[in-house]
Amino acid sequence: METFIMALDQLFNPFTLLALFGGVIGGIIAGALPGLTATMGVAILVPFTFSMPAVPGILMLLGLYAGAIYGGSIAAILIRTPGTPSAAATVLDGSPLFEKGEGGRALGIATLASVFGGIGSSIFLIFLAPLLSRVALSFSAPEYFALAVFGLTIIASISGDSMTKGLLSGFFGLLIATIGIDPIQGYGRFTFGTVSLLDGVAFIPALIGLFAFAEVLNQFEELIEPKKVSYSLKNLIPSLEDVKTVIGILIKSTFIGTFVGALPGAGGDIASFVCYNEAKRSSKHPEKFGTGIIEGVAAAESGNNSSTGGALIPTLSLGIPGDSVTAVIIGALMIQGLRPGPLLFRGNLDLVYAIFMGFFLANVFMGVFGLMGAGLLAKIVTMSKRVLMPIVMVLAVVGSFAISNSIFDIGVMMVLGVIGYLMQKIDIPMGPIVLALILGPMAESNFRRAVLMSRGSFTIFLTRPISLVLLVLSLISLVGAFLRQNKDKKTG
Amino acid sequence: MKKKAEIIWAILFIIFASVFYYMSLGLRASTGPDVGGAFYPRLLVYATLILSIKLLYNALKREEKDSEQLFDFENGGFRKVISVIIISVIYLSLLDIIGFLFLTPFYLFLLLTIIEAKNFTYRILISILTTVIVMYIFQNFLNIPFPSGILI
Repeated sequence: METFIMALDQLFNPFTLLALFGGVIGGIIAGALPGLTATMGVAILVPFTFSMPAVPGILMLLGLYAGAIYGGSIAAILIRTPGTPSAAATVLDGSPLFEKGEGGRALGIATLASVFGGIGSSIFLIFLAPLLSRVALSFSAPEYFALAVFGLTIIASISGDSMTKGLLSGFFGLLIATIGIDPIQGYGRFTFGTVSLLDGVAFIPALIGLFAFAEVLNQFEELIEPKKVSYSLKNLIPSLEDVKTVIGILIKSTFIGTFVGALPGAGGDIASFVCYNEAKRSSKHPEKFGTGIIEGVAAAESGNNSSTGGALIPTLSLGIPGDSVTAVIIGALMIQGLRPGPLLFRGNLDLVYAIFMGFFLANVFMGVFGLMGAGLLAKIVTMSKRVLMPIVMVLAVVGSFAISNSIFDIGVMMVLGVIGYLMQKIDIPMGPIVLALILGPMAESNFRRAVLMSRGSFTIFLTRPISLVLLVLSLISLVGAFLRQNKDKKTG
Repeated sequence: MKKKAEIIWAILFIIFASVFYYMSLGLRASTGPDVGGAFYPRLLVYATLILSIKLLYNALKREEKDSEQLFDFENGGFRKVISVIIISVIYLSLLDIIGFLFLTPFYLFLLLTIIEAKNFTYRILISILTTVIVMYIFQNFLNIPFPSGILI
């Protein structure tokens, strides 16, 4: 109880609330602008949170995360372009609704669904994360190694159309993550002879490169310029009848979205498609999906926003990121000197509670601002982004420098940015690299610690039940993904 | 074109993994029960090599479609990207000498010109304002020092 009051005290002070709401508004705007993604927004914002205390800093990022995933729907509906990748499924029904002159109704349902999904998943987060962290308290090196392997194999199984490319992206990240001090013996490895790499490739600059610099290069090549559209925003507040139509879908999608979000590597983009497809499959009139019905918008939007709370579950309780945004948030927590995982729940429970409640509050505020500011947001979506891209570039430079006042880090950012830009040309996904950068060091150091524990024997991973189960699950997910891909090739 | 790009990437990955393998040769061998610093990276190297060869094989086997254009050569998009990269590299190498405050407006102005943002005056205004605001926020609220160069 005392911790709870301490948490309330941390949350309800003007600065924290300002940071949280500022994050939400910034997130909605960033999400609404195609070319600015949630990951980019969070990566660029992390340096701003350094000198802040932990609670407002982290809550600003979480507000931005929730806001950006919601904001993506605005562009999806109004200009037929997902504002963030996770709003791709929203386009399917949102855009036809807009063309029918029901843009306001679609936005209203998208807002309702996002808030519903966000709040629902934060309730899951509040109940499940502490439970999971209690289980994880008994974990030691072999279990953490198995957990990291499990996280990494999920990457492979969700790597879309090409498992080879997803895996290559993951291994590229894992190799980069070995640069720096050897975790057990303490000497420098793979540093290419420079002292600057002794601490390894800096995580935040790498992310800013992969998600901001690379994307800005894309935009320089081909700027997504919105066409000026006329829109009416009537019926923004969902009618009771509409709510009745979608409530079942909202509940189901929140469950599915939270679960998908909690899987390492699977974020809002996958969650929204899974929920959309499930709503379509179980519908009485599946043929109407895609022609502009509110059920489609509701499924996609509650799916992607519920994945945010879901992604935070393994992030906070195990230190395993649920998607690329939460990978950045792990980086931000570490900069604050906090290591996500079961010990966070032991030593900093007030902070954890403040984060939980703040995330809940962020989702409520997101709905209020979304409905009140809809007119303004619609204007922003149709604005030109020409000026914005160069400014993002400068923020990327400043942010990379700010981590450790190092010009070398700006170089790291730019190199990875160019690599990311070129990788995307052949559809190599960026997500696995980020996850690998977090999970790689965790996998290696725990592997070696476990082997040391068992005096050189590898059987330790198979004799401990939790580690065995996780490794078997990893194997199943790998084999399953492999079989599925082969089957797809034969039938498709 | 995509086929060619995939082949090039596969070769780059092979080179990348080989460099790591080469560097791992210089690492100390395992001592006692520890597997040593080279064990895990080498596993990664082997996996990367296998996957790169698979990528190469898949790419070679695939029929090239003519329409697959990866870069925007026609409308000058690709030229813009190359310009941005070159300008960024120059910016980075001069940052320590000239300093953030004086160099960044030029960098921003060039970027705004490449992306064809409005008119000349507007570009100058945005360049200077952005630099000053960013610098002000970072130095005064976030206490982050900037590369100052020799001018200030």
